[in-house]
Parts: sequence; C-alpha cells; structure tokens
Amino acid sequence: MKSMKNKKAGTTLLEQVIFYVLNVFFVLSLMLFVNNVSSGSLITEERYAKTFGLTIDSLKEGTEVNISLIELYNLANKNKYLGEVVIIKDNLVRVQVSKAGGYEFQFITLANKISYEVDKSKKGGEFLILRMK
Amino acid sequence: MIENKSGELLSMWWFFVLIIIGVGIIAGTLMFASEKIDVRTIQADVISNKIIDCVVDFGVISDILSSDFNLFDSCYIDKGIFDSSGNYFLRINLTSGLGEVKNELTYGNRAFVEDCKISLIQADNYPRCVKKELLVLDSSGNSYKLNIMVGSNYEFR
Repeated sequence: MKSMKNKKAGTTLLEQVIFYVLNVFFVLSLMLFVNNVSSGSLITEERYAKTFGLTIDSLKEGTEVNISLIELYNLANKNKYLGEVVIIKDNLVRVQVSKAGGYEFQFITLANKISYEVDKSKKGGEFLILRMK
Repeated sequence: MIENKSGELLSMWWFFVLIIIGVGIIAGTLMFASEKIDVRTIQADVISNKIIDCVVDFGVISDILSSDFNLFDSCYIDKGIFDSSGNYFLRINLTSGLGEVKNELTYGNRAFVEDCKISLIQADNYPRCVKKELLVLDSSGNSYKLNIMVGSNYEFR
C-alpha cells in the first residue's frame, strides 16, 4: 500500500485517477449536451417550419418555389427518422426530423390554393416544391 | 490540486459543486434553445405585401371601393384563421386627396389598434405591427391614399 499512497496529499493514486476521470467525463458530457441542443433538431424544425409558412404566404398566384431540404434529411437520417419530414395540411406546416420532435407553423393563405411535393429525384438532394394555384 | 482539509478528493462537497455547475449549464442551454424565433414583424410585413399585391395593380386600386368587394376571397386569405384566432389584425383605409374616408375595412382582433402603440416599446407579449401608406389611382384616374395596418401576435399571446 505504501506505493499507492501520496503522502503529501493524503490520497491514494486510485482516488486521484477516479477524480480526474470523473472530472473529464463531467466536462465532456456537458459539452456534448450543449452541442446536441444547439445544433439539434428542435431549433432546425422551428426555423424551417417558419420559413415554409412565411414562404407560402409570400407566394403569388401561379408561382412555384423550390427549397432545399438537404439539411432536414441529413438530420432525419442522423436521428434514424424515416417518416415524412414536411407535411402541409389545413393551414399548418409541420416539420419533423426525429420521432419525438416536430414543429408546426400556421399560414393564412387558403389551404386549397396551396399544393406541395417533395422531390427526391434531383441531383442536389431533396427539394420541397411549393405551388400556389 | 483541489482538496478539502481532510485531504479527500471525492468528497460530498465536490459532488455538490459538480451538480450546481451542471444544473446551471443545462438550465441555461435549455432556456436558450426553448426561446421561440420571433417572426411576427416579418409575418405582418408578408401579409401587408400580400394585400397590396392583391388590391393594387400597377398603381391602380382594384374594386375595393365597391360594396360587394370580398378581401378574403380576392386575396386567397383564410377568413376563419384571420378573424377567429385572435392573433391577427388588419385595417385598410382608403382616403381621397381631400382627406375624406372613402372606405375602411377592419378585420381580426381589434384590440391590436391600441396594442400596436405599446408594442413600439418592444413589450414581449404585445403584437408586432406594420403600417404602410401608398398613393393609388382608381380606374377614372382619381388619386387616393391607401393606408394598410397589419398586426400579428402568433405564438406570443
């Protein structure tokens, strides 16, 4: 036991190792948490839902807009979410990139004037096509 | 090295400090992340532009002066959401060159007329409003002043 004891500090080597490991684990856990929250799905879903909603209200009759969904699909893949990423129904735009998530934003344009589709055939990735009839 | 007087590294005091720091950082991060993105001013601006595009065509006002004019049908706006949700307000005021009010249309939450004055000081739960004024002509060439005021308080009521 003599070799394991730090006489000056009065602590064992094992105790010191645990102390440092726990400190590093604690700091890394907090950094991971902050990183996940700040770059995670919550903020992205809200940002895109609001963008789509305001874009719909800005559309003029007979116009069409294409919006890239690459970031959303990348997040959905990361979260292993296979459902619909964008749903537009009854004046609500819903953006969802995780099983537990999802954010809805309301637009004021008549719902029957709006049509949409998600085009996955384009070279640059997935695109949301919004049309106003 | 951080130690207490007895020389113990893994003391209760150390765990207590870790918990306090952890809870503080987690609470701060969650508060930041849960803060809503405020798009009320943009939304009010988008709605006002939509109405201007709808009722004014190359500087000439549409049939807004006629009694059977229906703004919601003409501009493809959902009347149910606008009138019943209480989140929106719209006032269109058309005055002649002499200041005579020719037509005034008001829809939505009328409390926003006063609330919009308060929102100038950026009170959080009050609506954000946009006012626009433009000169227009009717089909006979008479000039009018068109005032549009739109307020939105969606998600912040």
